[in-house]
Amino acid sequence: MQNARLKRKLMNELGGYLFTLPVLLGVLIFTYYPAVQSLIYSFFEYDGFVQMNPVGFRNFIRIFTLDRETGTVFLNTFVYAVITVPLGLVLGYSLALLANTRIRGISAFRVLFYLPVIIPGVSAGILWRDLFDPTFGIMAQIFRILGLPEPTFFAEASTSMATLVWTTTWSMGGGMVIWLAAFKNIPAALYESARLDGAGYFRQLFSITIPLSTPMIFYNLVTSVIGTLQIFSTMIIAGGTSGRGVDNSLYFIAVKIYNEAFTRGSMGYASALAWVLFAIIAVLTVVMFMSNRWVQYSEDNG
Amino acid sequence: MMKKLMSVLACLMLSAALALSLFGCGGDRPEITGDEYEVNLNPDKNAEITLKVTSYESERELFEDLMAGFNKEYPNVKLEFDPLAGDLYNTMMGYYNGNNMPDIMINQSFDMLALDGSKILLNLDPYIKAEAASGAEDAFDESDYYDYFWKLGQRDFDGVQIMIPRTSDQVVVHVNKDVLKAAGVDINPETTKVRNGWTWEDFLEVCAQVRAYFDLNGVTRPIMDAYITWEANFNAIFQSFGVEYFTDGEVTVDSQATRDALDLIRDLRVKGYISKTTSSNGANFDGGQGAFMIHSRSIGLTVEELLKKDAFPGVSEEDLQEHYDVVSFPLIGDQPKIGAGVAGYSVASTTENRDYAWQFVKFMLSKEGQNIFADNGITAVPMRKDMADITDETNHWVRGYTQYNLSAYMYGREENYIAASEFMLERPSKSNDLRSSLATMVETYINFDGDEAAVAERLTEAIKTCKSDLEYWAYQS
Repeated sequence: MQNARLKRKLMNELGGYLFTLPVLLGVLIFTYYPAVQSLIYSFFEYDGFVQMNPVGFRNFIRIFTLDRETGTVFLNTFVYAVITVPLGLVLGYSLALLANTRIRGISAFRVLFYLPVIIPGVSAGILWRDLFDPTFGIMAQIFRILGLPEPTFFAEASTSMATLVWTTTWSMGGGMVIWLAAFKNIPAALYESARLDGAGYFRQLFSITIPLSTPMIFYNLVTSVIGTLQIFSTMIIAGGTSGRGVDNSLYFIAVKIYNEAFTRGSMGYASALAWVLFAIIAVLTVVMFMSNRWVQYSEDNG
Repeated sequence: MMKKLMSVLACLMLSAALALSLFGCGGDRPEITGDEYEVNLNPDKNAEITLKVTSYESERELFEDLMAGFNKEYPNVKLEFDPLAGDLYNTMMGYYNGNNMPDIMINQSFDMLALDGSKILLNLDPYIKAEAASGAEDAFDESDYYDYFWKLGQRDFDGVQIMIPRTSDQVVVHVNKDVLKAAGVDINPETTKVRNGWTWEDFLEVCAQVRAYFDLNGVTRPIMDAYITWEANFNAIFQSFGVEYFTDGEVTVDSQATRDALDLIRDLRVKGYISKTTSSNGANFDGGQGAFMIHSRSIGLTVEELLKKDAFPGVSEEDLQEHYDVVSFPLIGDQPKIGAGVAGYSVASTTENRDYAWQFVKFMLSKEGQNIFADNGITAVPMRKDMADITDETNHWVRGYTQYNLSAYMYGREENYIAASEFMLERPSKSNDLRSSLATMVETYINFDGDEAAVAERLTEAIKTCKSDLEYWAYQS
């Protein structure tokens, strides 16, 4: 009897499973298979070709003891994340608030804000390289017109990171779209009631808009942290210096993983680095989920 | 019940991934031929086989022509051309693991050294030795080729042959005669200083004249495209100063010679002859605006580029020599060096057609093969010594270009002025990192602006960092 019910249930849901099968197979073949394979490689000295010698945890130990680039790449990556994640959230949110106003031609502004996101990374990289040319770039000329000190931008290690962070403001429109969608989901009745109670713009913002868009803020926070820690900027590649910046000032973990695997022929070591990065991202993600009590999932929540 | 079923499914998926991965680690990969193997110098001429060649897309027609020439002797051998879409190392890694290796691949020094460690390059010495022992009239003979360049295709540049160099490339100075003339530089062939064998002092004198002319006319761009972080260029300057990067297992880059060489390069930047390496604003030689370009690019390719970019409006290819030519790299000091390198082809150690692959690369190095390279735009100096005569148009690399100063590309070979980037041999598997350490030293110093004390401090810092980097990459990493 129970078997017959299960069989009927399975038959009913067979169509659903068939539809999800391609995705399941895709995830299995293109995500889990390489992931598990890289975990295995991380315990080998492997050049990507013939040489494959088991080394136990030596690759992992090397990351934290022998490799002099580890400190630089982790520091660069975390500094970049610590600056760009909050900056991106605040600027993107502010932009969304501006784009959410009801003024004439706002749709055109929304398109203009979002447009940079669809420009390919390499094209943007070439653009930024020319704009930030320390001698002939437009930015350098603006500095001179304003009487500011002669800029060095990507030409000096001390200013490279700040310049890169500056360029990230370019793609704030990506987050803006998600927030705009969140704003649209906030019931208009809440604003109406607030206005009847005499609440002004900022009161409505802090008591309605921000609290009710915290799920999206949380989503953007988690994806931004993951994204920035995995930064492999084509913009940096397009900017030259083998993706490392002057004096390794823009050398990020993901770029190092690529270099180790494909230019130094250390596939095993690169895999170990990738798993360390994965572990760090996983821990940070878990911490963010454990501390998400500030997220308000409905108007009755909290 | 459904929950249980889903858990089982999830477990099955992960198990499958693990099993697939384990299978993948020891999966079906091509067999490698070691250093010793049997050779057959007379394979069946009617055999029906296909040779797969991986090279740049721009060389597709070249290989079709080479195969057409090869087919005269081996009529049933077919070509499967596979365009190289990215880095050679990456691509070969993918091909090896996918059991899809080519028989022959394009190569150059850095990739050759890196790939040698992977064992996928066939040691060609058994063929070379067998040819020498055969005593046949048309046998392959190493002495037909420029010895110095031939060795650049060997393991550690002095070991077994793992790459067949296709041309012998040497750095020259490309000259825009119009700019020099406008700047008042004497370009009369009888009296000009801009000639083969000119010295660095002559070069600086001309640079100063051009800079003054540019300044007078409000031209802010540098006067030349120098590609100074390219190892063929900076290494030649370092070698001219006698810089020793490594001595008996120690890094000895911190020396007065290094300081002098770096000062010489930085001086070019400070005086506005070259741009900062981080600047996208070059001299635009190809556009007809720069006075010089320091590069090994052949006359043929440069002429093509100049015409494409209309560098000299209204000037036809026939008349271009009146506006453009080349001279040898300026000689620095009493032990001058000129940068050089090679590109070539390697046979994969995984090939099942190695006897035919050998015959094919041997054909590439024949006079007919070398002429096919030239006919397809690769007009660099051939590897064959018997094709050096620049007045003999049966040597196709000179055909159409005899009015140019082609001897610049061979200047100093007899005098031992040629210098390849041998520093990479200190640790071939880390050659890219060694190169990058030196290029970074050049870059961080020459781009720096500041007062005398700050510049001196930057010089010390740049050399110190380079020393530490070289120690790490050569001996510790």
